[in-house]
Amino acid sequence: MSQVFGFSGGDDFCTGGSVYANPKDANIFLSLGRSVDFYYPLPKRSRISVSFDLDGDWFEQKQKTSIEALPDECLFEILRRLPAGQARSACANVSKRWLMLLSSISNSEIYSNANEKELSDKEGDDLEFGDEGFLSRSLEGKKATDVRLAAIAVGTSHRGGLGKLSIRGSNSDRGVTNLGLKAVARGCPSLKAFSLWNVSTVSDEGLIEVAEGCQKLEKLNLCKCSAISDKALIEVAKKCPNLTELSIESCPQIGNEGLQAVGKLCANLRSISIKDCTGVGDQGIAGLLTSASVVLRKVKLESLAAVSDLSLAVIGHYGFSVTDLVLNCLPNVNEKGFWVMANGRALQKLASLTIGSCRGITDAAIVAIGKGCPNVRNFHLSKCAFLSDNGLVSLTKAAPSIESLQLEECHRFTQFGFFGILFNCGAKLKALNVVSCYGIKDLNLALPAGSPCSLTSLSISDCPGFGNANLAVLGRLCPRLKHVELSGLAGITDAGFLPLLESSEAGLVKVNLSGCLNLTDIVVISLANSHGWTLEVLNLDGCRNITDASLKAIAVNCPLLSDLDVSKCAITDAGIAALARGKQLNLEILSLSCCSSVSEKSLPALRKLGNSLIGLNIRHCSAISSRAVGMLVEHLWRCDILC
Amino acid sequence: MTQLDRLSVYHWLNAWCIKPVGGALVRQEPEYILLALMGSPLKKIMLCSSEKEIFSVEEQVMVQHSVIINNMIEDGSYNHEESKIPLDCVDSKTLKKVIDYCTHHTHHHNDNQEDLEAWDAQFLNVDSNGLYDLLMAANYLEIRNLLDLIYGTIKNMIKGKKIDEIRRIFNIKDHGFTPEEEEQNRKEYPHFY
Repeated sequence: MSQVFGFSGGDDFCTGGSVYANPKDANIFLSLGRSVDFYYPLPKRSRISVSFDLDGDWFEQKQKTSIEALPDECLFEILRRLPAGQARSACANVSKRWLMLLSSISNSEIYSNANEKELSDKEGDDLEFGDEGFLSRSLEGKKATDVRLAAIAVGTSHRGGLGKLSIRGSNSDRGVTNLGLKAVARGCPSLKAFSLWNVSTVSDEGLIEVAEGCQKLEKLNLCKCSAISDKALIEVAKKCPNLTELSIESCPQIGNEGLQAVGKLCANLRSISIKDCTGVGDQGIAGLLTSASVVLRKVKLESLAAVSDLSLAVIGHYGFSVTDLVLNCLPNVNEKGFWVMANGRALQKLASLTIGSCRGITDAAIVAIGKGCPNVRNFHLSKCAFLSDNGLVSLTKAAPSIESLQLEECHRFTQFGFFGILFNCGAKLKALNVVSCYGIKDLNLALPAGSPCSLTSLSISDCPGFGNANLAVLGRLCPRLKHVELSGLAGITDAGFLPLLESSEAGLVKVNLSGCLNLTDIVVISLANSHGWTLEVLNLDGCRNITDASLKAIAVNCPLLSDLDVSKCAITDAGIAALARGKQLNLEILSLSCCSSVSEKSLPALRKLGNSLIGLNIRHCSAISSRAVGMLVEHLWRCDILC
Repeated sequence: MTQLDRLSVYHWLNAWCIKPVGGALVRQEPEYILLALMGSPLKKIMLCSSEKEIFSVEEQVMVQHSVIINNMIEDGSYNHEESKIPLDCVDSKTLKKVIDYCTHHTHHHNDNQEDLEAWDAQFLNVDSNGLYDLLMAANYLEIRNLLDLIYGTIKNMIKGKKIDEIRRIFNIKDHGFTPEEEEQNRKEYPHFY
């Protein structure tokens, strides 16, 4: 007999005394004296012990013990049996503990036997939506907490399922952690788009849970998640085969391994965007693009110091399906990289190319690209300090499909390059957009006559050197313009602009002359007379010399005008009244901000215009009192008024 | 012979193949055990509550329902003549009820479903303290069908009620939400409150 009880099996279990200090602990081990020792196998589910208060409190409260005294696993079992629907959503709001337990129940753990299922159908619980992922939720800043996430997970599960979740920032005290993501993973199996911005309290564990629970994930967007690393990305790649869009920004722990896994395992990946990730280099990009299974369409690489010529070479050789390519701020890519990319000959489907702040873009490189990627329609080049006139003109000559060219802050670009483009462009170039190129000055010599080009949209913005001489030549060269934007050009005057209007054969549709301080009414009157029948959008913001005469002309001549901006112009009530008298006018958007001469006398006119207005801007109109504004708001209830 | 469900038998047979008894490894043949059990259906065991009250119960009854007691017996470390099984977490009143339940279900196993259910309903006609005590005891002793019964009962108490009522019935004093969260919940789901 003593042999039986002498058996201990292991000193760690049977210490001979009670294992837990408090013998009343609701725990697996029996607390024993020296009488009997035995071996007890550990249960599979961990039990959380709840100590019963043994002091006076407990006896007093024995009047009515709370359900809160039950351990988590018992409460879990009870909640698990609740049918999906109203009951569960209600219980999610009873207490925080109930909410967190409910949110940790995955769909497979919901317990229902046959009897209960019938009953719930009869009661009419609405399970008709199924879980197709129709709902979309967004949590920002202070509201982004684990509790909210759990509530969303429980609340959306029976009402159509959560399809899109976006978390931006996190509450500083009780922010989003892995626990919240776990709740989402359990409760939202139909999640398709997930976006996590600036949440540094979430680590790999959380994202791995989401990957396991939401295997229908299609779009993943991670920005400034400093605790997420390759491990999580690899799990996402393994578990979510439907991933089509991946965007990673400022996640320092994500590197090449993660990208290689994505390339290998995500056969449906269409779009990848990587910005400012110090760990990502050539290996990752190469791994992504060379995998046979990848059918990438859109590639965006920005601010990646570890990317070099090799990555571009890979893109050039393997990017068979790439249609949109954005390469911004890649300091270690040289001319050779772009040249090799162009000559890889794989980028035949490339339609849109954006390159910015890359010192590797030189004239030779851009010409090579123009030749090697023959189907590019849209070129957008910004901050390319080494591009000069030669390169750009050669590009327009060499690129057979170019339709739109945008140049931003390319300061070696001069007026010669500008006109060179217009002289040499093919019939396909329709839009030319020049922004902040300080190298452009006014022509000071006569150019030979050239054949007119088929440009329909021209925009020159913030190029202070642009002047009247250029405009004169422009007029001759671009008779078919429909959209003209000459903004921020203080150098042009009426004398330069009028010839442009005269030589324009097609009707102008959109005209933006904002910031051209020296233009006067003459220009607008001429515009209204000759192009009034086609004019739809007119922007005269900041043209101080425009007066009521312009508005009168517009009222009479421009029946199609829908968007008019006369902010900071010298217009008065009479002008507005004239505008209102225009019978054919159907203005939708009118902007009068900073017009200090417009007063309450304009109110009747504005009311009449309000029949068609959907947007009105009367900010900083000092002569209109707030009472008048209030009346206007009341009357024009359909219109969005900014005041 | 009282009916043993297949799972218990399987469990026992598996666990019994090699068992250290008194420091030595002894192979117990499954058939021997079965025989031993079948041979003495009226063997009694003694359960000792937290208040040191001793209850004598048929071994078959407890072994059939409670996984814990089942394991203890099959361990071979429980000697029928001398020792009792101390259950320090269960008080006398609850232990009595548990024994009641197990005994009834063992002896009335062949009754029809309605009668059993009626008896169960009557059995659970206790106040909430008693119910929780029963639940804790059943959880501790791992009595599966009693647990399911109590879980189902509590679940039915929750189902269909409004939140304020649930909090009152179950005496939940502190819901754990911040005032803003509580306010927002009330605004978003007024019909639940």
